[in-house]
Amino acid sequence: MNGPALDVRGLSKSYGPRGLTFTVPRGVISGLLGPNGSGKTTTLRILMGLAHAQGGSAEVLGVPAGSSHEIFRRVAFVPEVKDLYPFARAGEMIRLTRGFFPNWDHELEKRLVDAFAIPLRMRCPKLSKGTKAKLALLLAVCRRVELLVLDEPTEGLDPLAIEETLRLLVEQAGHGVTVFFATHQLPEVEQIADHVVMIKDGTCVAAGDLDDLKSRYRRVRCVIETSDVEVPAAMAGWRRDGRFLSGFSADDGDTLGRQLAGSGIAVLESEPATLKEIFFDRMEQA
Amino acid sequence: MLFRVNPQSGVPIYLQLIDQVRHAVEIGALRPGDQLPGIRKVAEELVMNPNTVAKAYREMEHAGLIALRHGAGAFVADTPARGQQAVRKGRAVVHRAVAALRDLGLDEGAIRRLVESELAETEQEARR
Repeated sequence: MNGPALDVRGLSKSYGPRGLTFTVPRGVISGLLGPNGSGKTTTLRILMGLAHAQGGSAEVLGVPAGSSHEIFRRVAFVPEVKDLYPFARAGEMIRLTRGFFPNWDHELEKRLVDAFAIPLRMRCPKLSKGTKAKLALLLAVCRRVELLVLDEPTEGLDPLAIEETLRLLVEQAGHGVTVFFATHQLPEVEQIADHVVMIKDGTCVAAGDLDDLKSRYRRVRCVIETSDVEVPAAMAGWRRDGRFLSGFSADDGDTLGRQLAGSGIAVLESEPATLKEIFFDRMEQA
Repeated sequence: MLFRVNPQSGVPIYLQLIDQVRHAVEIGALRPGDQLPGIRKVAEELVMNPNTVAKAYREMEHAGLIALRHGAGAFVADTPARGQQAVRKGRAVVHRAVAALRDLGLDEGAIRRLVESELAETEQEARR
């Protein structure tokens, strides 16, 4: 039971992941970041058994992806496009879903119907985009699963609804649920995630504990003290402006300091990088 | 709420939480025996990750800043009075130093940079 929540190894498909490898430990809130077309949605679909990989492997809570429907007792997926039955009213949608899942949390359902102000008698297609998203989230969390997988859960929501969504995810994490969500919203990841996976062109370019990543990654400014200096390989791609060099170091400050000792380059400033800076750096360099 | 975090800052959130408790203890806003809010309450109120709050509490316990009593919650530890006295004395030293620097005609930015570079230098020397 102590293996990772997600274990992805060399996952490939003609579109989407290309040798994608990462793990997500249990009990974390993990943000999946990457530009449009980087393979986030395809990867989630493969994990949920909705698409087949052509190479590599993926395990969800220790079970090979797509091998068994049993996994849906332990995992809930909220896709970007909310599949709600077109003829059902919101209340019927809840009753229908509830029937399939014996673990259903009736108390949470009541609370969320109130908190999210779900119009139970309205037909699903008539619901606003925000209400559809909230209803889909309600249907997922009330199943009391071990792992929640969400594709852009806050896309198109107003700020109030975003905060309600994030609060619900945090509350779920407080009960020990692992949350894995794809998003473009770096601030949301910084606010609630403690783990990140960054992908580019179907490949993982950074993954791990967010605090670790933040404390290792530093925005550094150096000054070149003598004229005939060789810029070390670690600083390839850094911006040079006269005698100043600036860029990002993925090693903590000490390592860079040691590399630079006696090289004629001195560190002027070394500050922790923000997630946005780390993201842009990974997308440019990797 | 005792805590206020800025997730967009480069400083990890758990370190921000620790700094705030440390500061509150130093200025006497938190006293030994005062109870800190529970991990889940902090997480839900500030809409942040409970693991991050738990990490901050663990580190603070490790540093002797708070005591975690099983089932009862987190309490500010009995800090040696020495520590608080030192901070109070330190504040007086800083007060005099800043006044002297201003008399030399230095502005806030220059003073801040001087203090920071002094700290960075002594830290580097300590590491050698």
